[in-house]
Amino acid sequence: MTSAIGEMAMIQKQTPIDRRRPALVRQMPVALVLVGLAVMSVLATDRTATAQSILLQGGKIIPVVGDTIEKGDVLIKNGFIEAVGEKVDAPFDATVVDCTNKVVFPGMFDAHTWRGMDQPNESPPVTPFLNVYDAIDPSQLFFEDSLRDGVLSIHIAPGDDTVIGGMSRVVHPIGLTPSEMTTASDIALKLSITPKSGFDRMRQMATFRETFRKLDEDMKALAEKTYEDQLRKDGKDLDVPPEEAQKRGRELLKPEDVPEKDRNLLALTQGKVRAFVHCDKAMDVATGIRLAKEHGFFDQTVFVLGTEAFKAADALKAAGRPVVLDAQLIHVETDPLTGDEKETFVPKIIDDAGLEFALLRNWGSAMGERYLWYQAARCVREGVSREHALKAITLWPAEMSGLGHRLGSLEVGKDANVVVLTGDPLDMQSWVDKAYVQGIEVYERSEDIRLKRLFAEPADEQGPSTSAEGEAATEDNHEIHKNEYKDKDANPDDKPRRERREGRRPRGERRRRPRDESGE
Amino acid sequence: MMIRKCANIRGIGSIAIMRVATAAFVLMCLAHRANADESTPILIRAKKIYMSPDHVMSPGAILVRDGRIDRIDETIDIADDVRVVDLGEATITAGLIDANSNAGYRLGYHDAEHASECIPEMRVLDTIDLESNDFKDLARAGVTTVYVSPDSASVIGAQGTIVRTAGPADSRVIEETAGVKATLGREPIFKASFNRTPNRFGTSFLTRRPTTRMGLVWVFRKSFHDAQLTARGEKPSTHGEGSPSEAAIPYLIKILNGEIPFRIQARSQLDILTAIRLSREFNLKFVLEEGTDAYRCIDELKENKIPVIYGPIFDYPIGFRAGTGESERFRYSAATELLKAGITMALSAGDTSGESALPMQAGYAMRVGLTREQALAAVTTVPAELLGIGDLAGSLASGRAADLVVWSGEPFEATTRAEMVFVNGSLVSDRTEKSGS
Repeated sequence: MTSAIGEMAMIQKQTPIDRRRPALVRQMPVALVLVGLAVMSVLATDRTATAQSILLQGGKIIPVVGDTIEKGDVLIKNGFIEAVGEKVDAPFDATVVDCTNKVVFPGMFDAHTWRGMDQPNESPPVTPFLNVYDAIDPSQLFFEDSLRDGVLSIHIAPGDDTVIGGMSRVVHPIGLTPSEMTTASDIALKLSITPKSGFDRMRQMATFRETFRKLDEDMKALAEKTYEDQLRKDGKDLDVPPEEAQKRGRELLKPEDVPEKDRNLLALTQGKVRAFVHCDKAMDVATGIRLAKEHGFFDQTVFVLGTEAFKAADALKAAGRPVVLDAQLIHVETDPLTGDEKETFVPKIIDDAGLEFALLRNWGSAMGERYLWYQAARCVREGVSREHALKAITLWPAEMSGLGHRLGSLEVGKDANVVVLTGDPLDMQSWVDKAYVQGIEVYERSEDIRLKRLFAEPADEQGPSTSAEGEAATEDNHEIHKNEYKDKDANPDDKPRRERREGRRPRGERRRRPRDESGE
Repeated sequence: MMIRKCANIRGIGSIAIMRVATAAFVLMCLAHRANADESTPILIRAKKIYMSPDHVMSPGAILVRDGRIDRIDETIDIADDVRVVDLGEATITAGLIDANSNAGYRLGYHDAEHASECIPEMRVLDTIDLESNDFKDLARAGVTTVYVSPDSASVIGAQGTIVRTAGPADSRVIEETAGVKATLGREPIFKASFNRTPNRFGTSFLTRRPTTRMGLVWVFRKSFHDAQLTARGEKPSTHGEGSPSEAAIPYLIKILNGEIPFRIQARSQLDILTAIRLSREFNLKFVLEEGTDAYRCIDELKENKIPVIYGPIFDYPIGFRAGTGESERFRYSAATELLKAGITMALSAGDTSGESALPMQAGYAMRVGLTREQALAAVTTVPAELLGIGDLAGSLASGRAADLVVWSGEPFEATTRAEMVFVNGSLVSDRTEKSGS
């Protein structure tokens, strides 16, 4: 594992953070790319080197589990957290990273999203045999944004439209292929109690029943056939009734005998994989609990709730299963008679019910709610304890994905997924300064090209990598940009501005549009 | 149907009327009593009081009596009949002011005027619903005063108005006509297409003029040119298509004379420079709204002493600005650069709401480089001055009507919320007793 990641990180080091801009790379003359890579590798080697140990020294450590250490060290060795404490002795060859006045925090965990996938929903309603692996697009800006915001684990699951979606996985937002990005595979199946738009709940439940009945029937037939085959091989005649044959056959059944399309679903009913069950409305919660109990996966179930589902808080409390909350956090209800709006802050209610919950990022927002820490800060604002708010973006989502033993806190033996922040995680002015995935530095703020561009003064942006549109990388365009700033001093009235605006984008090259961020 | 209903009402017996009247009287009495409770003086202790962005009192206490700030001091002794509020970490600031809001009406097709491209005779006050939830949300978030700007569907839009977000109905409107806004850029062009005839060909009274920035600027210049001629006693050469209506001309003259404050909404560098050019041509003073690219025109803005109502700040543009392509060169550093250059800058949430409403805009501004004091000034004193209401709002002083916000901690942090909000003397939001709502 470590070596593959190591290779990946070397590639990472040699490529700028916004390598996910194929247009830019395409436009760049090959020579320029090579020169750039050479320069960067020279810059990069001395710092990453082959160091197996990294000591994050002198920072404020918020381990999520355990007490905050005002000034302490975290030792990372071979991709794992080796030691956490006020003073840690490091091996002589450890790379020491000064974290004075910084905050060391576990990488944040996005509990459930379909972002990062090319298409979140398959059109047939029952597709438990699919795997999000095939739809993850490593070049999506989503991953770069996640990295910048310190979200180092992302549970990617199919969308809410399928009745039974495919198999999910947890990825880190760094890597060039889904394999490189994978933290853990085969996490959970996605089920949706809420039908997609235009469909009704009766059909939804009928589909569930039919699917599980069919699975049961197929498995029985397969077991019976396996037993019969065995008898035939032994030259014996069928000697027992079908029920007994099925029972005996089941014991003979090898995992590879099960047809591939049924394997995931069978694993679900055997309680071997988790279920993320989407319940958009309160009415779906009871159905979801019943379904999970009937088919034997209740103990593996995480409920993914819509804002209105908080009304089933009592049922959820009785169930005691963890929940993923809608990114909106606030449920707004308009009284149909008076028009008065009633707002309910959902996490507070779920927290008061004593449930473990995970927060999601709201991608429809313009800024704040796009950050996971901000969502946690909102919870603190509305009276959720700071401890729970921090757990809801780190440890609890990790536990929901069955990775609580590997991720979600700064504890000895866990994966070294660590962020170094410039301040408190819930502080408005904090930024992610550095990020480590499995002990490898994957983000450095001073090298974040997009961030540099957003903070640049106009005079700074003449370099090819910080051009105004992020596309103008050729020498020609570079020239145009220079002219643009020269022109600024001249009388703007005299210049045909249209002329200057043209040429920034090569003909035929598509303008990068802001993505449509309207809801899930 | 209506007539029959009325007849029914008339048919109600006098006893019933008496009953209703009695009930109403009782209710009024109850309401009055509720008011009496509210008029108990409130003493609020705080860790910090921002009298103005550069005058901090720490710790501090404010005594609000009969809706007025009775005293502000470091310590105030408790009298018996006083309600004491002490939240420990609280900070008190003046109520926030959004100098470019779209509260109270719906943006886009519904509340945009399509009759003409030049409508300075119309007032946005006539289309906004002062009782709408927009204002309630703003008040609860700590925004006490807003300048409501009309929709940017017209080249020269309607008159904006300054209103309070809550409080007694008769005191809500501070100034009916507080400015007229012109819009440059794609938005009037795009929104004009709402009213285009289906076949796209030919002109009709439904077809609006500008389809390009050229057309847009032409409408702008034609309007003010005609106004100038009229002011000089000459008759404008044509009163045909694209000319301002006769009703509009007196208002245009007022704008030219500086009697009505003028604003121009422009986002891209191109449009901001056009705005400056036009203002020079007609000798107009104006305030720049939105100004996404303002950081690219620092010298021009400074030279012409143009204040900027900057914002909203975003990672990814939402609303109309996403579709216009005018937000592509958005910079985190813009607000800082404007301040660094000494340009008067207020922050505004524009059409964004919820978590992106004004308090969080100040928070975002802090995230991208402003100090807390700078951010506070940009949402209190600076907009107050720009709107000419500096003696009513934007800072705290004893003797004034209480227009203030009690924050649960440092203002503009994501973990802080407005616990108590006073608008013009009345306590309109109080979350100190209940939590979680």
